[in-house]
Amino acid sequence: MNNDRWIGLGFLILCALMWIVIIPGQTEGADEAFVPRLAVIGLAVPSLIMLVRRPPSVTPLNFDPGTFVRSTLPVLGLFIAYIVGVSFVGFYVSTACFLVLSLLLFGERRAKH
Amino acid sequence: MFDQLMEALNMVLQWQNFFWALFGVTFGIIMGAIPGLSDNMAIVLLLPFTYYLGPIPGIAMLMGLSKGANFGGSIPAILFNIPGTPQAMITTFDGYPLAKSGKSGKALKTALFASVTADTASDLVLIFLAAPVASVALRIGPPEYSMILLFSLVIISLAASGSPCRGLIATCLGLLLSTVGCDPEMGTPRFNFGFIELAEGIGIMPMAIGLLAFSEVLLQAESWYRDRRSGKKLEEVRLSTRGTDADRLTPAEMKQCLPTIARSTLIGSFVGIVPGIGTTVGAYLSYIWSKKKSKHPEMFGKGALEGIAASEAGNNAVNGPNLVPLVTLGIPGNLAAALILGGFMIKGLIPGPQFMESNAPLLYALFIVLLISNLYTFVVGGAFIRCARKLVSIPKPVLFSVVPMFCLIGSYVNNSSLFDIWLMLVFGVLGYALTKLRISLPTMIVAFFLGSLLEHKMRQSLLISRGDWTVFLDRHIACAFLLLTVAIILLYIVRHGFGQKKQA
Repeated sequence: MNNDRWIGLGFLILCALMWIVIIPGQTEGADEAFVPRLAVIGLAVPSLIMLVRRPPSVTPLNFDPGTFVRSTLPVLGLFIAYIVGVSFVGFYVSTACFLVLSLLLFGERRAKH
Repeated sequence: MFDQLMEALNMVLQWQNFFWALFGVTFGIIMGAIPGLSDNMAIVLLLPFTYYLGPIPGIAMLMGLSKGANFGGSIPAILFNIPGTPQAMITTFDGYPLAKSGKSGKALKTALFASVTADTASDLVLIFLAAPVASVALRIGPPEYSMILLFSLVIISLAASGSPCRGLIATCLGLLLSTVGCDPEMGTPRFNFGFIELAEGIGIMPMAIGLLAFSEVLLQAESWYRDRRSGKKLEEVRLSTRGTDADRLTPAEMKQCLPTIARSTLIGSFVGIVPGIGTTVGAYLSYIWSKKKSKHPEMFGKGALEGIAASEAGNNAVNGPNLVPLVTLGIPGNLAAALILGGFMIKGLIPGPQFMESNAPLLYALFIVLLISNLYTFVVGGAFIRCARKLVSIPKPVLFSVVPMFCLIGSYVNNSSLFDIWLMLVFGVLGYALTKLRISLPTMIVAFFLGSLLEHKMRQSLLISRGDWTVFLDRHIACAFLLLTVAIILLYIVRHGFGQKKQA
């Protein structure tokens, strides 16, 4: 199954979840749910089209799991630690540590002369 | 009227007005150029200072801030593909590719030229059309408003690059996000999942910073890492050499951009007059329309000067007319105008229908200062472009470390809430994922802006008509926009079907 179909299927599942579980649980009454349901229908229609149509071209997604794990996840982890640090230690100390650690993570080193 | 103009000139020609307008423009450019900070934040930070200033210097400073930040946001948008302000995100489409091809100077000067030209033209719109336009704006009620908004949403869905299906998905995601918070009529919580911080909805600052700035850091860090491992030469912006054609905007190129700037000024002015729509939508609609009208639409997205001109002119042209509902009806057109309204009230001035009659010389004085601020933007902006060289020579690892810090600060200062920082992180990851799926983030953000307004106006219309949907057909302007929306959808399906748009 190509990428467009996976994307269509994924969004259709999201639409089903919204319609059956989330909207009834988070709204009270038909008026409140009107625009969210309209938006879900608007989301479901192109998702269904992407699922059933023959895709006009097969363009691979620009996503490499290995690169994601080795580069993006550490950045995210460091930033999460930064936020936690701000709430427990304070802004200045956390920021100083974050700046130093992220420079090291990205390989920014200067030789001593 | 001549006497009022003379009195206005007398009020303007004092050194304090010139000084504070210059200060406002300079501070605005700096704030706009730093991703994570924005024009609204700049206005909020300097609003208390207006207590100590006279009415004209105080309001001039705030307006200069707004103008400066509008241009300032385009500097990192062009050099780093990270918009300094949400309205500069459209500038990244063509600004960054042009900068990467070694024409950063040309890109920045095009942005400056388009910004100042459109801002000046739209200020003239404000000056000459304030009174007559206010009378038209009075006739736009909730049904007309909602159909104009629906039309705008359909246009941005279909024109999203690559695929109308993805455009529609982006629009509907934005609409869904706009429903978080509380119901506009009942006031009951909706989609806040028990978080009290979401009671007023998703904050635009954490959302925009996360989607545009933080996700871009993740994407650029990933490509930097991949290129470093493969030994590939890092794709960075090559600065244009001073004095060469790549660093200049030639008179021929200025002339080439003028029709685009004129068109975008008209669109931006129309968007600015209608309260609530905002600079981002002005930029986006101008870009889309200019692409349609261009002789070389295939160049858009690859470094077209017209693309940069359209986006910058579109977002700057909103500024002047945005003040029309403010000074004539007392209705602020966007957050910046609302803060400026605060500045007026601090000085004891209450904008509204009587304001033009009782304070005409003051109003004309402010209009003159607006025009002077455009000149300052041109001069100070030009000086900043020369300093832009220093920005590009900053090593990427330093940027990847510093920008997240500014993202954290920018998310936190709005509400002094750690929740907003976590929200920014969530949107950063969402923005990363949606970019990988090739779903347009600008479309989603614009839909978010318009979604709550659309719902509010539609439900108001149905309240007025007691649930009768024919209210959208009975009102001429509303009906016209509704038919136009349907016609555009049908025309699009007939011409393109449901497939991906063919790339020329």
